[in-house]
Order: sequence, then structure tokens, then C-alpha cells
Amino acid sequence: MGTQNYQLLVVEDQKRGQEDFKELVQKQKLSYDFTIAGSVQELKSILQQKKDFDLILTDDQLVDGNAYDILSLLSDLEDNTKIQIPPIIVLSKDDHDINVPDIIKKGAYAYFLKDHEFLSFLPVTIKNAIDHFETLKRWKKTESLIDNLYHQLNDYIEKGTGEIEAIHKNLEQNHQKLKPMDRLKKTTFSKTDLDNLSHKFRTPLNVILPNIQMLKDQFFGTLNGVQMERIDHIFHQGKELLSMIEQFDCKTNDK
Amino acid sequence: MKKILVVDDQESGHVILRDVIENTLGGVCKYISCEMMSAYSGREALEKIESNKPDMVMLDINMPQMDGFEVTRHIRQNEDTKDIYIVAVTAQAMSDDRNRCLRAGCNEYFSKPFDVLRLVHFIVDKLRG
Repeated sequence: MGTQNYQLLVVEDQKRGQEDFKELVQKQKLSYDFTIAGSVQELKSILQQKKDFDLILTDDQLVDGNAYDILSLLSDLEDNTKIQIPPIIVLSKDDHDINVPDIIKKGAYAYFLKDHEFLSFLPVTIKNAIDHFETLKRWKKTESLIDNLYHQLNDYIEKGTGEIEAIHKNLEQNHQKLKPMDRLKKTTFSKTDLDNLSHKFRTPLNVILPNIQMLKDQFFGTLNGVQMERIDHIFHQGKELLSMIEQFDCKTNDK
Repeated sequence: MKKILVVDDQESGHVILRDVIENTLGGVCKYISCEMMSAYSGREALEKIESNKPDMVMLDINMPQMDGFEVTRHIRQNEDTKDIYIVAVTAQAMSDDRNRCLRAGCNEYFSKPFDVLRLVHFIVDKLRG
């Protein structure tokens, strides 16, 4: 509640009762802002205009009804308007006409017999009731948040499940595509395979290199400068390739 | 005139060796008088060796039916041909191949792709000697 005054609605048709309450607030310097209703009808009218009371303090016998009527009225109001009704404390001159467990069951927070010392306990009970009400409000808010989170989580899970299924399907498709490569990875090349590979690389060089060398050494006639330069370049590149194949052969033999 | 028999089941082998041997601008024929004969299988080679008595056989090892090793054995087993100089010319290039060829009875071994000038000078030296 912080430093704000408690907002109380006091339902009391007796002047004496109203004055006693005012005197209590003044004497004990209680941080209460209170509104007084002298009847059930007036209570109803006030609640239609102002709804943010922290507590309702009511006499059990009024000119136009009793505590049961008020509890019933507040219960209907709560059902119809979805306003959370604050805690209600019922006060009674004597307890002969009232069934305390029943009245608590019907929604009252506490019951007080107006004896000679009830006013001394009232502020503590009011504070406890308001604190309890605040705790309840916070709990309901938390409950609502949890409910929202639960629904959001459910939505995410449903959405996530769909996405995971899509990812799984995609992975499965990729896995199928990669299977042939996986088989290739697992393939171990035997020495014969590697020798065959070397042979296949050598075969074209067996024709290219001797012929280029014969051209270079002018077996087929004199070459001009540019022809000689180009042929020389091809020959050396061919020898380079052959050298790589020979290195490959050495590694194959080492294995 | 010296006679060289080239034995290879592939025509490309004959084409290159024909230039190596018969080319007069840089081949063996630039230095000595010689002619080249061709055989395309082991069986044909043995027949031509028998009838022509070449001075040198340039022998491919990898051939179907009768390979170069078997041809060499036949040459060496025949009293009339056992001294013919055999040069193995093969695409096989493993270090073990050289030893296998020499053990089988070949006199020398050249792996493909061979160095043309080295082969030319080698042949010239052997045939002159």
C-alpha cells in the first residue's frame, strides 16, 4: 500500500457508531480516508460511483437489511462487474442473531462483537485484512501472469514443435543427400586403386610429353622464337604434372 | 642396318617410338642407320623375332594374353634369340617394376613417359657398341 491512506467504506446507520469510528481515527491518527453509508441502498449507490475501496466495515443490522444482504449484494456485484470486492469486516452489538462461521463462509473477512474494547483491536484487524487482500490481489495477478505465460509457452511449444518437425524433415532430406558422400568417405582405396589412378593420370602424359619434347628438340623442323617459347612452357608444365604424379606414387608405396 | 622391333598393343606407342627411332632430325636414324618393325601382341612379336632376328626389342610389358614378362621368357629360352637386347618400355612406374623386368630377363627398363633424348642416346649407344 505504500504511504497512501487506506480507503475505507463504513456502513453504519447509527450516529453513535459513526461518531465512535471517527473518534477512533482521530485519536489514533489512523491513515484512513473513509466514506460512510447509512444503509444498504446507500452502500450500493456509493459502490456504483467509487470502486477502489480497500476495506468495507459494516454493521450487521441496518434499516434496510443486514450483513447477509450486504454480503449477497457484494457477491452479486463481484460476479456481474468482475470487480474484486475488498475484505469485509462485520460488526455486531450481540452475537445472538448471527452465525459467525456462516457469515465468514459467505465472504466476510472477520467478525467483531461491539464490546467495550473492540475498537482497540479494530485497526490491527483492518490492517491485516487489507494486507491479506493485497496479497490475494498480487497472487491473482501472479496467477494471471502464470496463466498467460503458460498459454504463451504452449503456443511456443506448438509452434516450436512444428518448426522442429520441419527442421527434422530438412535434416532427414539432407542426410539422404549426403549418404552417397558418406559412403565415399568410408571407402578405403586399396594400393591397386591408387596405382590405377596413377596409371590413368600418366596415360595422356605418355603421349603428350614425348611429342612435346620432340617438337622442342626440333625433330619435325625448326621452330621460331615464339613457338619455341610456348612449347618449352608446355613441356615444363607437363614435367611438373609428372613430378606430382611421381610424388603421389611414392606416398602410395609408403602406405 | 640395325633392326629394332617395337612391341606394343597400343598404336600410340608405335607412333612415338617410330619418331624416336626413324626421325632423321633428332631420332636414332640421325646417328645410325636403322629400321623399325612393329608387333601388336606377344605372339606376333615372337614370330617376328624368330624370322627377323632384330638387334633390339622395345617391349611393352602390359599386354593382353601374353604379357612382356612371358615374351621375355620365350626369347631367353630360345637358343637363337636368347642374346637379343630387350628394353622394357612400360607405363608401370613402380620401383618394383624395374626389378621385376630385370629379373624376368630384360636388359634395360624405361618407364613412360620417357625422356626422348635419353632414350635416343641410349639406343644409339647400345646399337653402336
